[in-house]
Amino acid sequence: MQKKVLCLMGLLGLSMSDHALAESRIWNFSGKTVEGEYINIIGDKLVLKSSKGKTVKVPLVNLSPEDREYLTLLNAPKFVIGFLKKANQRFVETGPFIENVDASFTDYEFGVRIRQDDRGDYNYELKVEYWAIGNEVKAYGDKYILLDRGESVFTPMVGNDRSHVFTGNAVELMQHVTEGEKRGRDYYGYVITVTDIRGEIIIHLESNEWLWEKLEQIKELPVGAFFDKSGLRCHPTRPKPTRY
Amino acid sequence: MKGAPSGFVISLAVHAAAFSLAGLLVVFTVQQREEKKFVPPKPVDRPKMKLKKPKVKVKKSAKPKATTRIVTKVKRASMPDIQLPEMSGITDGIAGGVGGFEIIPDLQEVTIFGSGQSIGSDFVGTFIDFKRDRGGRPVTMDPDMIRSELNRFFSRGWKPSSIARFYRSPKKLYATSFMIPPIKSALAPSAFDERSTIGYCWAVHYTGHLVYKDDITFRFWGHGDDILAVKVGGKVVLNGCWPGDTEDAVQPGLDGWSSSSADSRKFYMGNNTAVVGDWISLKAGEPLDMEVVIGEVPGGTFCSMLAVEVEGVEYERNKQGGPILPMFKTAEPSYELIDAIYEDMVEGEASVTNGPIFRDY
Repeated sequence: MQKKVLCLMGLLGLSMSDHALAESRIWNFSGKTVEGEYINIIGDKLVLKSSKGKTVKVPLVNLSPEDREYLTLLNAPKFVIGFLKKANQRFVETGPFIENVDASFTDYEFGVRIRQDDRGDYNYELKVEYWAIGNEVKAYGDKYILLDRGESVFTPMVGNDRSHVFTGNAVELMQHVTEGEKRGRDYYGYVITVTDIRGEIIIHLESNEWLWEKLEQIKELPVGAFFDKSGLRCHPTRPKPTRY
Repeated sequence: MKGAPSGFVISLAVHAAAFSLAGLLVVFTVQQREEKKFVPPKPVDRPKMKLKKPKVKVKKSAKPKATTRIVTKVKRASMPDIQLPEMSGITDGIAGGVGGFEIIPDLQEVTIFGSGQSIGSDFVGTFIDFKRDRGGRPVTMDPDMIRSELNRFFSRGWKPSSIARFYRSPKKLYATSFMIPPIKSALAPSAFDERSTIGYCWAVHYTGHLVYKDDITFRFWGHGDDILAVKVGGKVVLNGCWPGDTEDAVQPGLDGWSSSSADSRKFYMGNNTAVVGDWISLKAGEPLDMEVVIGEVPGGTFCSMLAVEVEGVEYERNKQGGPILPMFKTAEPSYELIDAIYEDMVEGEASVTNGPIFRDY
């Protein structure tokens, strides 16, 4: 018996670009230099806090090309990102001679949709990555599974409507009743990051905060690996004996 | 013709007329043959296979009754007697590589039934679907019939030709262990890329070599739901098939094999008790042919677990009071394979990391 349930689900999130704490740096304008920390841009002027603590205003037009690029990257536009989850459920018969409960499979396809939320020019390459996470179905199971990961690069431009969609590999998750208990795997959550050419994560979106906190550990895992809440690889929860 | 007898002339005329008539006939027949065109027959309307009603009791998922079989005869494999050295060095320590190089299989294809790439010391597995003929067309099959077919296969020397009429998957898998805890039987066809077939009435036939770097005497312990049979050097050394209908049905084909150990069918390994096999003695570096058949009869839960007991080794005991034996293996299991086994294997029923690795280095 097969039951097809097709569900396209997008979880939309608006994420502000993160104006990271700008470090103090040397700025070049019209042959001069000034050391200072970025504060903001007011009108056509760049506002800095000098190393002596004074406020310095520099006309944007006088800045070097490198400094203008730095400011563009620092002030990335807003992007709307969403996690895509497409699921198709099917049941697998075990046979006509048995009364066992059939197993169910859910075929997943994960991905990301990203769109620039304003019309400003950015024109820099962005790397978009996702990690799809599953968990054990066992009632006493507390391990997680890296189901899939994917990445794609895109440059927001007029030509691509400043938006991009990509999906990953097919993932099959099974749930079944074996030895009198429910077992298998289920979908749990995700993490998405957007990284600019400086290597800085300018946007992140996650279903559960702890997945973002443990992302550096999760990044080290191969797809299919089990891990615990510290993000470290481990073995799955062993089933309990039912016959002794 | 002046001067010829009248009878001769008449005869000549009759023969001439006869030949002319024959010539006409020949010409007519040839023309008919040239004009005749081949018309293919209309396709035959083949009825869909109707599944037979179960002829056997439906197997419940509840605990099976404990077997009451009593071993009344002692049977040992007729292996040559070999003087064995002290069995030192084969401890229950962590199995590890001892030099040489390791070929790492493509981890994307690691399944509990084997991986998609051979590393040399593995067993080649061929998936056989008894519900289809060699062309992939459905055939009538039920639990009694597959038991009969397997018994015949075993009785004919485990030759693939004896079951050649059934479908064999083109995909092979390469196994370094046979430690499949209770899982859904549909997973086996899936591992061999035969997802469309339902998980009953199938088998996998593995062939390879058994070798160890030192002289060693050991025996297999194992259990199969429903089929687990092991042959080494041409001799059956284990019939671990599901007790009752299946074990009994294939016993004749397996040379009437039964365990000679009092510990047989005492301790659970998976969803039933393990059978203790015959002692096997290997000479250092000398390989023997080894074959393993696993399979499923009615469907539902599938399990096939094969472990080894090395003679003279004291093993840690589990909750049942039975030995925690190392799984049979010909290579160190990868993290992924261990995960696949652990996900459905109760702790203490076997060890996947300890014990000997059966290879020649």
